[in-house]
Amino acid sequence: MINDMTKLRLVGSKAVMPKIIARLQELKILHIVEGQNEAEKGSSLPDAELLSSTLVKIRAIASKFNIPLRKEHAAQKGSVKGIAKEIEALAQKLIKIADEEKESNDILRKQQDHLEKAKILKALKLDLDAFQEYSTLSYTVGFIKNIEAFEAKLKEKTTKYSLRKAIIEKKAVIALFIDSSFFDSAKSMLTAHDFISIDFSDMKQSSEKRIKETVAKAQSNLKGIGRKRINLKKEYAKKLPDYEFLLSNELEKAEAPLRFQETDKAFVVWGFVPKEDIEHSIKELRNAANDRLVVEIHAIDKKDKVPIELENQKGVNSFQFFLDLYTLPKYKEIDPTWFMFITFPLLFGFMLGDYGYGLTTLVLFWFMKKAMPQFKRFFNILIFASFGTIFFGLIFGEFFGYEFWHPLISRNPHHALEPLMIAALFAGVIHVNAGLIAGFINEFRAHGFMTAFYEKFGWIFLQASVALLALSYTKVILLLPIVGWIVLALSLFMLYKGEGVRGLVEIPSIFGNILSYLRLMAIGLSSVGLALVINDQAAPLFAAGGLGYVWGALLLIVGHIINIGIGMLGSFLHSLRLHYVELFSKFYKGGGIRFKPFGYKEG
Amino acid sequence: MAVGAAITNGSTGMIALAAGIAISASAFAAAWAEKGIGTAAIGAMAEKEELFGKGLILTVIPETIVIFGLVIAILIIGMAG
Repeated sequence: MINDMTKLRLVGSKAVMPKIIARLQELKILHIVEGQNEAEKGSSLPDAELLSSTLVKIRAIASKFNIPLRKEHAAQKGSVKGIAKEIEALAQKLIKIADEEKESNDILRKQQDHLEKAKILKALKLDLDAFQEYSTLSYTVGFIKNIEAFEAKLKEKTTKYSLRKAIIEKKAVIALFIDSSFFDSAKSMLTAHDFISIDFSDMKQSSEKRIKETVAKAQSNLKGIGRKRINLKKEYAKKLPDYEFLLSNELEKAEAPLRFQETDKAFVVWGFVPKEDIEHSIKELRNAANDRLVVEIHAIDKKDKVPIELENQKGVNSFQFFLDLYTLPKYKEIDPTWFMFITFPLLFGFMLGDYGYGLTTLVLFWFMKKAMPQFKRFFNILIFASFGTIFFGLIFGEFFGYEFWHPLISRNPHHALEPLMIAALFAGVIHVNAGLIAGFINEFRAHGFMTAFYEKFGWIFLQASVALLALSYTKVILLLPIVGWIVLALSLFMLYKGEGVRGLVEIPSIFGNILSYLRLMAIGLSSVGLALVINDQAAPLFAAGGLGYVWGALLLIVGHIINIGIGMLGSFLHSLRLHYVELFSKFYKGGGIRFKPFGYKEG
Repeated sequence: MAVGAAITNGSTGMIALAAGIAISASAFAAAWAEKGIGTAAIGAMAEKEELFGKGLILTVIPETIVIFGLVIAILIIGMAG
């Protein structure tokens, strides 16, 4: 069912606007429509800027602290200004903490660097004093790849040098002291041997004890910072979500006038309210405004984009999932949820159709629904589909592929398959024609009786004429074939009147659509085929006895699990496809907008 | 099903082969057609997620081809008796 809506125009004094907005947010009944051009577009309330900047900070801090912000929340009270101040102070505190952290980390890095350089000096048996300004001597220290090759090259040039070597962590380090006149050529040789120099100019003489003290101090500083952060997180773990909820509500209110229109003294809002809430909500709003508000009820125009709120019985409403996935109906259209509730499990069951499989999936999805309540609608659909599977399992007489009793219609390849094929086509004829009748109702509502009659009954007559012709020519019924030809001509005329040339061009599509229901048979047969193969393979294992029992059981379990998986996937998608393509093309256009009342939050 | 008979009887073998061609050719055709549509549908969905329903429908439309192929194959096997 699509809920009836009432189109409203609220006109009120600006003095009571904040009160009206607050009440609307609590009531959650008005779907605001924008875009009417009767007056200037409204402007947001004065607090909006402060609110949004504070919200940005709250969300940033919450994400830094890993505090989840939930959508569902109890109502909160607090002063916006107070919260804004508190959050600003918190943000400053966090910035300060971050600065301190960076400082301590810098110190630690520097000391680390110092210790490493000291290690290199120790390995090279050099002192920091060695690195001073000399008049005729130049030097460099660093890592190098191939010392021998480099030294051999250097020797060709000069012998006026001293080279110290050491190995640190498997890397070769050298200190080269060389006559200044050869320094440039030595440098280019070094570059050719992948030399990476180390700079000692920023290193100061300092005792190991002092370094250790500095490191310890920086480390304890960092620990203190970590503790501060944890304390802040603890303090704000509950506060931040509360504030976020409160402020986003306030912001929604502050920005609501952007969707209104206003003059100097008054404001105007257009929107839709569900019919059942209308009296109650008008009273509430008038109370909130001290009668300084006029509520007008307007007739719904054909051009109006009426928001859609679907409401179906418990259980049935799970099938609204398929419409959310596809598209919501338009306001005057039939809501196909009930239709899908009945036919989806049946078509699904026709394909999977196995008593044992149905029971298995029923139990499985029952538990999965309990385990994952957020996918409740989806699992509900699968539970209904399992009932369909059990029902058809009884008709087909199948239990895990075994034929345990004499079936009404057989899917076993050893029997004739014609009854199954006829049943599938019969299901198609019923399904498609039910769709055409629903389409008749839709068209009747939208364009009147004659158009609807020509457009939809033309197709029904066309099918009838083909059936009549076939039956009369094969002498199954005693009827002159001319009757069939007359009905055919009539249906063609109706189609031309109803849908024009396009209708005539599309004539084969109706038969394609019905033949498409043969998949009910085809997919079922492939599922049965696999089940039989599994059972046939397991039988000799059981016959062998001993370990064969184990292997046989294992084969049966694994095989049937896989077959159920494949069967579920195929049956689900193909049943859905039969609805979306074959059925919906007969009556359903969709394109409705979801009803989102002011104050409603998706969660 | 008719595999054992196919080895001994030439005409049954031809029937089985015909059924095989019916299903494999139509499956290939359906796959070929769906490849293009599916790619485009995924592309459209990346732009606009609400198109899932329409994308799914357009993608599965050629599937009818393979269903017909399977039905024909079953009918052909029926001829083998």
